[in-house]
Amino acid sequence: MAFNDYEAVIGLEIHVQLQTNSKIFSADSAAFGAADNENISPVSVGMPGTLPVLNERAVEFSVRTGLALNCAIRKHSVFARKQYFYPDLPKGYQISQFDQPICENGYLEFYVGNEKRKVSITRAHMEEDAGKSTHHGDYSLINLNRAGVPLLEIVSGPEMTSPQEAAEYAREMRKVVRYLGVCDGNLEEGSLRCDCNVSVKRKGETKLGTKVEIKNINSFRFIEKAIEYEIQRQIDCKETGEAIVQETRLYDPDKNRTFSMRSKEDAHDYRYFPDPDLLPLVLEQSYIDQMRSALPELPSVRADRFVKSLGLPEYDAQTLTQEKEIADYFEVAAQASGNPKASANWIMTDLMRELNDSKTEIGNSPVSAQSLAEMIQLIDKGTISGKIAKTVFAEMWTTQKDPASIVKEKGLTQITDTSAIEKMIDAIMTANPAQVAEYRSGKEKVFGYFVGQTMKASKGQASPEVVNELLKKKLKGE
Amino acid sequence: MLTKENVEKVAQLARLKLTEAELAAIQNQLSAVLENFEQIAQVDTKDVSPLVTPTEITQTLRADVAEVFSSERLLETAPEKSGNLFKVPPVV
Amino acid sequence: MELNTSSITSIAEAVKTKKISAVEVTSHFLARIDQHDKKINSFVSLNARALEEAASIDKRIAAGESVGALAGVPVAVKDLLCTEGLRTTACSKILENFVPPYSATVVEKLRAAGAVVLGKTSLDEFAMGSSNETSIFGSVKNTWNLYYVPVVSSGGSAEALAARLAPAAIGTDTGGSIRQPASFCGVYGIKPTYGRVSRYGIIAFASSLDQAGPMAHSTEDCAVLLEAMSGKDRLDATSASIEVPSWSKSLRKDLKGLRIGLPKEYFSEALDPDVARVTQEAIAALKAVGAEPVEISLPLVKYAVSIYYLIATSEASSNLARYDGVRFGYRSNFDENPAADLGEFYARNRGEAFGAEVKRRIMLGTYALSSGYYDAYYQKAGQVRRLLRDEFLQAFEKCDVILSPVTTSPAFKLGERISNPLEMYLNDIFTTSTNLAGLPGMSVPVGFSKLGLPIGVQLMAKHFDEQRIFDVSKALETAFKAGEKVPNGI
Repeated sequence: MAFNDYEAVIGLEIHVQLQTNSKIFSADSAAFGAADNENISPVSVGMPGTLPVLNERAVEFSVRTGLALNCAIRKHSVFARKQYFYPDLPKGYQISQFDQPICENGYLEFYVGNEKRKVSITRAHMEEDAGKSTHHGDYSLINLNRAGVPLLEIVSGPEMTSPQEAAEYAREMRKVVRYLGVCDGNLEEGSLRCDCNVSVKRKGETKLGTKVEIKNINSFRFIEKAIEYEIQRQIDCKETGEAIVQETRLYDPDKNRTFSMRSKEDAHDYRYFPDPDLLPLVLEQSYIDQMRSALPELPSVRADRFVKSLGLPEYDAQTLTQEKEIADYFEVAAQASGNPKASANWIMTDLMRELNDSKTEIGNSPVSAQSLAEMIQLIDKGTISGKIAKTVFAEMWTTQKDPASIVKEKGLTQITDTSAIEKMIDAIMTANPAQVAEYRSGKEKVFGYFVGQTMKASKGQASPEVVNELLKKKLKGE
Repeated sequence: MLTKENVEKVAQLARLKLTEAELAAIQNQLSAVLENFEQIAQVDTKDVSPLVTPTEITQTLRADVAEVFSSERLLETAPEKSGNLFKVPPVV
Repeated sequence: MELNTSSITSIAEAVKTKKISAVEVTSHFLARIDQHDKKINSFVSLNARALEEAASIDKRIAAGESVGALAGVPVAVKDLLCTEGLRTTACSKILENFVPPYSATVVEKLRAAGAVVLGKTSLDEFAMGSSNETSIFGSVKNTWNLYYVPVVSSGGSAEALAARLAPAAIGTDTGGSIRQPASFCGVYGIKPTYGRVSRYGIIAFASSLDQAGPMAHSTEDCAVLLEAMSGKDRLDATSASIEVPSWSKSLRKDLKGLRIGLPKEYFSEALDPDVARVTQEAIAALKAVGAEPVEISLPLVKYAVSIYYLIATSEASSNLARYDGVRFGYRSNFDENPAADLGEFYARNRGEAFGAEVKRRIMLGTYALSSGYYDAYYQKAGQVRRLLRDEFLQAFEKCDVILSPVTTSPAFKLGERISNPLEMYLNDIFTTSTNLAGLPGMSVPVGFSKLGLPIGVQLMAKHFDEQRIFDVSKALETAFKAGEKVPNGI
């Protein structure tokens, strides 16, 4: 996408809902999908005299994410009250972090096509989610199940220049938080929320244009489309001399446009101040070190390793590292089989197809990585052919038996014994004198017929290489 | 001295409906209190970090264990509700 | 048994040894409330289940179960502490009908120790006021002289105690609300170290200053009550994980070598002559039992009231944002008179239900935190607060306990000062600095004014060193027995 004389400046604020059992400051459940106001407590309803107490797992998840994003972790971070009135905000303030966030100054690396990008992470701070209001004409209803669910808000630098880059950044972020096990990354359910800050300026200008925030984007595709629309809208404004207002706009996917969220509220004055109900969060270096050593290998690093030390093509490496569980599965299979490429192929084709068709998570796959590896070894040792392996795999999927027993029970072992195959070929040649004559007169196309017949006679178990070799010899009358 | 506009803006921020008489009284009283506060401007506070919690208290975090509360009892105090939801006038 | 003048330890002992039943004790005080509280107005709600709770204590004793140190002791609880199933109002229209589905941790702990909640006592709306005149339930009268105020927000608790309507009472103290009414009513009252007692379930005024504490007729009674109330609470991140000593059992017999710090800034000409005289009498009595007076200096205390009002109102403006009429509390009549927008919905709920003093403080706090003023007000106040706290900590290198007046003058007349809030604020000079520094502070009755109104002195110690305060309080109690005098007509 080209913007002629203009350049876009894009920054993303991603809210990651941390997958804890209970809320960030109280013990009510943080689970998704409960009945109306089922997951509430005196604390999350903001009842008089109730107090927040910080959830240790929310801290752990935040530190883990910060480290994965190469951030500096503050040993002394402070919770502050962000004050505004809204019916789904129970206390009249949201507990967040302001000038001393838990994570600062990191970066995220990812690919846009074949090009590697590195975008800085300005900060990542912990906060509580608000509840949800639904509007019904002459009244509104408030559900506080979500109020107090822990969030980590990750703020990028304003350094992205295209809608594609922003979408890839968001995709990579989703991959990272899923790898870390801190968030399920579900955009539709809102466990990952993405606000985009967009401005445009003339090429070469150093001064940034007026920033517009776009909210309400619930898929990666829409991130791209919403930003694309917004850039064009702002360029049009510039071209026609219309002023760009600093505001929040909502994206409407049905109309594919953004529209102003006009609010009668005056300019916000959040009156941040340190929350006296919570002590500053103090983290020891040993705790941070421990979190760092427990970090899993991140997707981009892992993909690089798959290419460099396992010799996978870039495409395979990227595909296999989309999800941590798939990459884990691959590593077990590759190591046990000693054949990374064959493991990658089987996972990316047959296994993925079966998993998708049956909507099964790879963690519950009836074919374990170990069994798959054993099967690949049977192929590599020549015990079974690649073709027979398809049958064996299907059998493994339905019966969960190990490949060696399936091969044994069904007698699927490949026949490499030349004398046995020679006998079959002799019998076939005797039964088909006309075809033999045809071949010998130069019509070599009939060769395929003999291969088919031999394989059929061997019930598919003859080694195709051996069959080819022997047939050529015998047909030529050698 | 605070202006009437200052005070009105604060009332708006604090979401308090005040009568003209209340506004006038608060304008005077706040001005007096703030004037009184001016004296601490003399105290040298360079490089002093503000104190919030005055005593040394060891941090304790909460284990991530979910507990169930009776949402019915928490909804009993609602001025208005619909089913199990809090009900308010339209907010958009 | 003469219940009106019995200590709580002797009541608990009598109940445990079945000399008297918990039901009889509770009935006695309920009858007194019925008889006397019409003119004093100290209770705003009575616990309908008080006798039932007392009966269950008796039952446990009959069954040979062990009961706590407060077995069968009736307590009056300030209506700022949430009590499950019992209306809790903060004496505000905004919570007039609020019945909490949970109790404050302090209330749970008192009950666990065997105490029986008699009812809820009056306070200034949201504990904001310096005269106990801002309650929606009307002002509380001073038992010693009905035309005088009991002063500040735990007034109901102090008066209930002074009138012998309860042998023990619980108050809260943000800038002096336990110590001032204790002094004006001739009873003992301690604000413990910040973090000693859980704040969970106590309707917040200013979170970094608030602490609950006991009020009673003797040093030991206060100590026993505080022992039951204290300790780490998993529901309050600012409660301290520190051991709770048995103060009541460790009281010193004499004060030999104990250094009593006297801040020279506290003894100025501005002191009322009665207050000055009583304070000097207290110092002399302590010297007589071996204590050594030491002059100390706290030059920053002159700023305490200014800092206090900035910090307390800022925190309060935020703590009171939750009273919005959405989930609980007062809601204006929008059926009759619909709101034009959401802003009006809030402004009417809050504007109609908060009283003048509360609105004034919310306004001041909102202003102090607003954009462009934060650094000059809230931040600056926090910085000076640190300097002031450190000044106290340094002073405690030279002395063990600091002694000062509680207020500049004895109780004042109802309505006398409400028109001049700034003057009322200055009365808080001795008590607010204690809260700012997080120190424990206690008011101990020592003498009387010429008009016969009680006057106490304030004792302060290092963080978590309540023991020294109780030691000195006991010495003053032995010397003056000022808490034993009962007001006329009681």
